[in-house]
Amino acid sequence: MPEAAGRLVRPNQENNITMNPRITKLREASLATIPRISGERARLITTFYKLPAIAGLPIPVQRGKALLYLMQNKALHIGENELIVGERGPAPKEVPTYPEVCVHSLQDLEILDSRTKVSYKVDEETRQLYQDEIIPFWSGCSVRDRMFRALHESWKEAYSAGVFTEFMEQRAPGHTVAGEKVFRKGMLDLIQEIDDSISRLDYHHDPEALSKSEELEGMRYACEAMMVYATRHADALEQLLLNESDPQRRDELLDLAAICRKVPAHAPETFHEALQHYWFIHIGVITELNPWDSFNPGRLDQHLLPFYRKEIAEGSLTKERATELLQAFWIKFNNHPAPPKVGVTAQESNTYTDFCLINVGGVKSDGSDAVNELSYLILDVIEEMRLLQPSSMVQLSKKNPDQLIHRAAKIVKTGFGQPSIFNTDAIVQELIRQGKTPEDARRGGASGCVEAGAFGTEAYILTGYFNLPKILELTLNNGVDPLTGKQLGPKTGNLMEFNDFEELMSAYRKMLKHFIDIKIGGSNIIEKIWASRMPAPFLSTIIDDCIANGRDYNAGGARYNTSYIQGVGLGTMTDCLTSLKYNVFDNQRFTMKQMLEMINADFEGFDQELAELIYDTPKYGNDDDFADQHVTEVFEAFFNVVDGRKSPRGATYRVEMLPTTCHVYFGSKIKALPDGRKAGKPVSEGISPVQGADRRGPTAVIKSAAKFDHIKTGGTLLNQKFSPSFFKDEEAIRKIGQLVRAYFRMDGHHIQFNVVSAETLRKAQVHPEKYSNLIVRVAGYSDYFNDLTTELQEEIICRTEQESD
Amino acid sequence: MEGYVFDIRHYSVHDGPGIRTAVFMKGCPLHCHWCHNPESQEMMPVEVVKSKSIGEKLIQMPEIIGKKMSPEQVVQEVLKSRVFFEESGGGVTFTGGEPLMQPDFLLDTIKLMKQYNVHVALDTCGYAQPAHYNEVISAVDLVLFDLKHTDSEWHRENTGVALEPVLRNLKSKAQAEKPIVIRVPLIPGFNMFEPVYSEMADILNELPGLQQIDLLPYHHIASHKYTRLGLENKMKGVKEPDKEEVDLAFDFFKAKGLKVTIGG
Repeated sequence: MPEAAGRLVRPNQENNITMNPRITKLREASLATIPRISGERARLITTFYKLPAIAGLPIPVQRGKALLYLMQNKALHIGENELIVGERGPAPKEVPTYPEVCVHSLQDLEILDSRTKVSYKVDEETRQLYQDEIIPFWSGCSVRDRMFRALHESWKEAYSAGVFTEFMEQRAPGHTVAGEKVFRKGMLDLIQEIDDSISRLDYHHDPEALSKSEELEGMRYACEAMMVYATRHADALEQLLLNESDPQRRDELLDLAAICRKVPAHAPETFHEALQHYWFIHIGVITELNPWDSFNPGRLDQHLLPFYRKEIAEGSLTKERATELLQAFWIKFNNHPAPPKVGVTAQESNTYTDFCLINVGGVKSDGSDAVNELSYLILDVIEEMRLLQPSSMVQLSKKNPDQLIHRAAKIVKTGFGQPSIFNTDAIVQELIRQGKTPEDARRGGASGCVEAGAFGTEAYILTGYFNLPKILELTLNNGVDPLTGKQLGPKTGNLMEFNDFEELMSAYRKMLKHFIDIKIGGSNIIEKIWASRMPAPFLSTIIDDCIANGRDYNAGGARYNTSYIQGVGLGTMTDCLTSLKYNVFDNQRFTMKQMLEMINADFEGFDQELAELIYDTPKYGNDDDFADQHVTEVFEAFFNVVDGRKSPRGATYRVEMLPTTCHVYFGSKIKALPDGRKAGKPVSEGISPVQGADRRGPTAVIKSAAKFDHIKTGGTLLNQKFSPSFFKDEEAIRKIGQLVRAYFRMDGHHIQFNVVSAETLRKAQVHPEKYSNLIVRVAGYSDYFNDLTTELQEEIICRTEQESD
Repeated sequence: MEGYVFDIRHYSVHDGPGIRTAVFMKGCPLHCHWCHNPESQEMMPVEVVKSKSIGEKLIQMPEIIGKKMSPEQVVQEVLKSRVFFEESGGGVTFTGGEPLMQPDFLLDTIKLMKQYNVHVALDTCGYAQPAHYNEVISAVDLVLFDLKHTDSEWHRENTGVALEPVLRNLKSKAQAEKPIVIRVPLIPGFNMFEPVYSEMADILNELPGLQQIDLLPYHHIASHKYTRLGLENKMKGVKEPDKEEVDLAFDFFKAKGLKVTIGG
């Protein structure tokens, strides 16, 4: 990994606070540490499952006890001068594995160790452990193995062809965010709730009473696990005290030990306790399983405010101390790279980032402006820490002051793609449309990349990316996949016999429905396996109303349950339809036969024609209604086959439009397309226009992107690449804020900017060593440019660079 | 009534307040040596050949610069950015070329624009018949007025026209009632002399509606256009002014009590 210590540190622009030596050192250590695979969790979980008394227990109880066993036995790490304690692995960036979910082969471990990008070092001892113990015990029993046994052949064929991906094949469902409850209740309060729920069970009338009692018993063990874990930290801190001579550190160790004796068993009462309390819970969630998007404290400026104000008023906390604690908190996130991903999962999400997205701003549950002094303090921390993890975002409501977006834009200007900017008013409308109460909707925000959710009350699970342009390719070939020559989909008609554009669209819709049915059929099987085989009792105690319902998070226990399918390639798909309508059906520039000939030849020998397809055909992203009518058409077709369908756990299927890195993978699975895209090249990213196709400036992109109805989604992702001149002075930055406000007035969901020139990126490709701290916005997250695959680097360079003259 | 327009560019941020849309009108009575839009000088559309890249290769594609549009068509295109005008206090700026070369078309378009309550700015070289000038000025919200020199001979030599008509419009009664921003291109060897600055300041201090002066330092950005159009580039060999020279002008006008910006 090309990270190096001593990255550029910018003094914070607003108040000129620079990080103190302690934070500087912790931060540099975090940046310099190389991610490694730790075999510890795999070893402990295997030992646990081999215990004689375990096999006979109900599965939720097994899982609760498994967490207890892990928390009793995992090694503790207390870093030098740390202010917040707790690590998922035995040390920072030592990443555990989850063989009960996905058991890595020796070859997987070798790939993880040796691949050039996003690698994790695997030592000999771990490989030996896997060979001798882990692989023999778990092979055939992991969730992944069970899944692939149960899935139908049609699902597997479509999956291999790159029609869609599957999120739950290597990682657990998650994608959720803590609500206010986490900061207001201790484990003892939760245990009381669990016991109340157990005492209410009605064995006379409720056929599920027994399974509810088993689930609740599992939850109880999970809460106990977290108390044991904290107490062990308190003991270890007191041990350290014995050898500590520095009086200041002795005081800190004493304080920390006292905090660990109090939280998470009891509700926190101070700012420091609140951060440590959350952090223990965070570690609990990501140790229990490897849920997507790790875990997330959500609306941090809201949750911490009561502690902050109380202590500032009492004089027991200063702004400087609060800043230092937040900085220490930030570093903890950066110490935790994503659990290792291999195969298609690695291709769709090829990054160390684990998508914890901290929210700032937005509205309170009564709908009023929620921005407060902590919102700005957290923005200062984001700017100064300049870390990839946690990701950060600003929720901007029409009720928030312009100062919020202005401050955020100034951080965006520093060019590391954070914070991203979200439209609170759109998110609230999206959630209300899905059936949340206005209050629950306003308590929500966005997590992961751009996903809207009701924080603390919703299980919103992303099931996988869906390749919209691949469906067109299959339609153009009457169901045959040109990459393999196999009849993959139904015969929707011979292209030569289509009389008009509408016939083509109707064939596309048929093809789309066929593969969405396959995807949803598969997801329903996978969901059932997770619900029955791999409950998450600890996560269930945190998300309402799992305790009250006596039902697991993975089984529909939350108040709201949603399953998403994420559409990819909207811009490419739109331009393909526009090209066919404009060049073949309307203007007869080419016959359909000629168009297919060019595509089959990958445009070799058709330079002039290719130039016409690229430069003289209407394109999405230019506020041109001829092209943009198709963005609505594609979106509506996708929405109509997905939205409102039900899953076994009682969730409703919805759509989102985001790609992470999947637009590169999906592009590799498609030959040439009618918009002039060549075989194997990435498709468009998020809802952004095709790379380089938007030539009428940022307002035109925004207008085009706002033409389909974002309120019917659970999130859309628009990235824009701006030359640094766009941000050159206060006035220019104000105009960026106005641009964002205008997009949000049109119900745009999210926008983010890459403030970097293509020239810089080209130089970084040639001299990576000189650009080790160059960060770019990829899709819903930022990453080190050097950590991106060459294909992804090229894709970002090819995006239109909006120039300000 | 139709007119010739060669571009309508959105997210223009240097031609008046807020986020604006710039309407570039074709035709100009001046032929300034430093002109950034030489393709705009002729009223009639011109065909140019542009190179477009296809992978590694370059493909030649003809492109016509300038097209005939009705006021309705112009307004329809401008209004695409209405939401941005409203959020930012922006609007439309008519520029060129010289918009006043097409006074009737310009006036019709402005009047139509005002029906939508859009802020209208006019970017002009000031060289126009007084009747046209006064009528158009009365219809707009803001004037961006180019002042290039204070000496008639120098002016004629480098722009092709006399200075007097320009000053007459600048000092007219209609102009006195409108906010005005003066834009001074800083051209080395032409107007970057203290006596010129001094005479300019005297003129400007007499203008009742003056809001500020924008100093626009010359740059080479348009030289490729001269090559493409097969025109002689009379600025060849002229260096872009350096920061010290620009600061000198800035300080001079500031000392005269004027509000100055660099770059507009």
